[in-house]
Amino acid sequence: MLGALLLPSLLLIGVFTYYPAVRSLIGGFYAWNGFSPPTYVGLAQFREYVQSPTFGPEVAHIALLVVGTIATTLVSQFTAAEVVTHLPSLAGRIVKYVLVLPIVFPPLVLIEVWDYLLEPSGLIDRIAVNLGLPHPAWLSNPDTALIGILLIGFPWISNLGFLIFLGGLQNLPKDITDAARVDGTGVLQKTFRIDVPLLFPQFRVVIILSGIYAVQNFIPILLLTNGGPGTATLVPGLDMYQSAFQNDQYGYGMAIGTLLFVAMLVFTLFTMRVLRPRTL
Amino acid sequence: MQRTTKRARLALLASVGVCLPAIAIGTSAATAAASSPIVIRAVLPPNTGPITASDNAGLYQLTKEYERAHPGVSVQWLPNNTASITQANATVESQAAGGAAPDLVWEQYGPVTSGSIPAGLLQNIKPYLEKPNPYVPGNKRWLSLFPSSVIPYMTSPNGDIDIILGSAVETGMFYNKADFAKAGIKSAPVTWAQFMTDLSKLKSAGIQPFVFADGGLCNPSWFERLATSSLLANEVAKFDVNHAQVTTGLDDAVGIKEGIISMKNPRYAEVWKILGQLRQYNYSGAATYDACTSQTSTTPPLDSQALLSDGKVAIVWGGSWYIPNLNSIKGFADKYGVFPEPTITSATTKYALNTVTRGVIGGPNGNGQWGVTSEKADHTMTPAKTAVVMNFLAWLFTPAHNGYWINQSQKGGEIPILKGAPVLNLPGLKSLLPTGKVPTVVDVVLDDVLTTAATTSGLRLVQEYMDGSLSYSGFASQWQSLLTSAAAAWASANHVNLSKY
Repeated sequence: MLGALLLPSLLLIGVFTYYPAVRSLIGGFYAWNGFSPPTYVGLAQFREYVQSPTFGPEVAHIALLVVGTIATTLVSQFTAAEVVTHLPSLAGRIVKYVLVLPIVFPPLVLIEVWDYLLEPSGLIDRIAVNLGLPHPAWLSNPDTALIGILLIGFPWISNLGFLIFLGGLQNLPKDITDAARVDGTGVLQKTFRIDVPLLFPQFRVVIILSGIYAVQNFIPILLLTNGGPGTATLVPGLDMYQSAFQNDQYGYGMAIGTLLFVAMLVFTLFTMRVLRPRTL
Repeated sequence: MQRTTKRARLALLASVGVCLPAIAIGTSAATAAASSPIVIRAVLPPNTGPITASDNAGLYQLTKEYERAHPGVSVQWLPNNTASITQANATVESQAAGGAAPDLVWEQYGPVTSGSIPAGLLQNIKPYLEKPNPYVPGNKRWLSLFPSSVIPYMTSPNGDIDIILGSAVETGMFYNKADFAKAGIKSAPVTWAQFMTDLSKLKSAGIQPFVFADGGLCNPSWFERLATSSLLANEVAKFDVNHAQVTTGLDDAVGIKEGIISMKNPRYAEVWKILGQLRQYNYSGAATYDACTSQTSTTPPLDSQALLSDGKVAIVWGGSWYIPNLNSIKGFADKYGVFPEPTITSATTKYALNTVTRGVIGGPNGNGQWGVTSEKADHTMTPAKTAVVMNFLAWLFTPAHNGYWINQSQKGGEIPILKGAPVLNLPGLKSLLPTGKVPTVVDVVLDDVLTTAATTSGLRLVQEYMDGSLSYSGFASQWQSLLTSAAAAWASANHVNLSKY
């Protein structure tokens, strides 16, 4: 009966989370400009999106961002967690706080900082000029704009994944780590033969979260390039947002949202299947 | 068991109890609103800050005076941080979907008269404009205070007036005098051919010649308006079915259907070939800049006039609102000059008609314009409240008041519209004003005339074309497909059968 206490929360989650989600699934089948009555159009908007000239570039960009985000997250955050684990106690604690603290900074501040670094005549540009290096207009050059977006947050450590890896490393079964030490296992050997296999569940969570984050987090793109120049940084999330809230194509935006949801579901199920715990 | 059931009931009661006060508050608020003074919710001009900001000092003063004279009315000004009219309209349409749009919304004539804004969102205010403005002694018809050249901009194809226009802007090329001297350019170019020669001279002198700031819609839509109006001047009559000063969505859709606004029409295709010639002189980070964004913008698009004042490019394409800004930079007032957009002549293309396009881009599309929302878009907008809102507008739109708030808002960079309104005489502004009749303005894709989606896609195509990732043939093919789909979308949204035309 204590479950009844959850009723207000369930009600609010239902109204503010599940209802909009279900409404959006239905909305994809209707053409609606947000003001006039909606018109049923069946699968037309789903078809229109998949056949649009921007669909291919959007899929390519989001694939690159998902792979890039997962790769940078895994490498940087796992490496940082390993280093912190191997540091002496006090130093480890200090470094841990230093690495974790930026999580509390508002993401907008981070985006503004990277905007300052990447904009024409920004800090990176000026350093490159002084060193005689090429200095592309990072965010307004179609060849470098997506790389510029990926660079945001470098060295990509201060995130939840770091804490997940650190927690995992600190809770590895002591008998196994002790046995490895007694056997004289080197750091690299221990990392790849013991830590990585034992942290598979953590890797799975971080991969799924990073993938979802990469798909959902189109805010830096919205603020820094607006999907441009041209379609150089256009991704499905931004297209969904612009279609609905800029172009008044709410139904079309909801159709993109539904397709994104399906894609993320497939990605999550696939990752869970591939990285499922296995008994040797 | 009985105890747990009791607990559950209590929990349920508690959760319902949480909701009840909220409902009660809502009901009492609604009751209170019915008997409380009328509150006019009005959107401020974009990027002018709150009503207490210096840009809005004139509006603030006039509002206070109005409220003092009308104790039952108060005006709540809402800051407007939108970057463009498309963004502003998207906001309004979202609010209107829930019947919660403000009473007075910032607008521009393009989307209002073209049919881009959903029908029924704004009210026809013409009946009020046909009556006297009560704040202008002796006035018999409020509309007579507007210059006859402006009224066509306010009028929709069906004859309604859904927007009131308060300020005009002009556009032109702002240049660095020292750069011109260094490149050996003795006078500002008058023709497009001279302009291209000067760009070449600047480049040869090691100076970054120009920025076509396509991070926002201004420069791209200005170019489209300038070149299309110029090169199609002898064909406008074939598709200008509305005979308006500015082509509407219907005109464009007909022009596209007839193959006049078509990449297969060499005259229209020439517009984009001329744009392509600018690529070699364009600033490499052009897509990070916009000619109309806020000066204080810290994320892209950044303000392109800073490229001129910082000495990074020799010429930027800007508007009359640049003049007060550039003059306020210490020591810069004498270092720049301004010239109107050059005329496209036969020295540039065999399709040139030598159309003088001064005033084509500018006109009554500054900051000081509003639409009045309908009851469907704004559930508080009863006929009685509409009358109050129009009375407040009548107060703002007397010649003296119009000059007062516009001149304070833009420090002379925008021109008050009403006849007899005081105008600040800014150096350089006179050279941008039209000297004769302005030809029919042809707006097609980039100014939200057909659909906002087409405008968004069009800007992306122009960016790709200008940064070289799209060749002319690639651009032409995609632009043609955009024209066709935008015309069909406009016709569908406005329930127009194009085969009748």
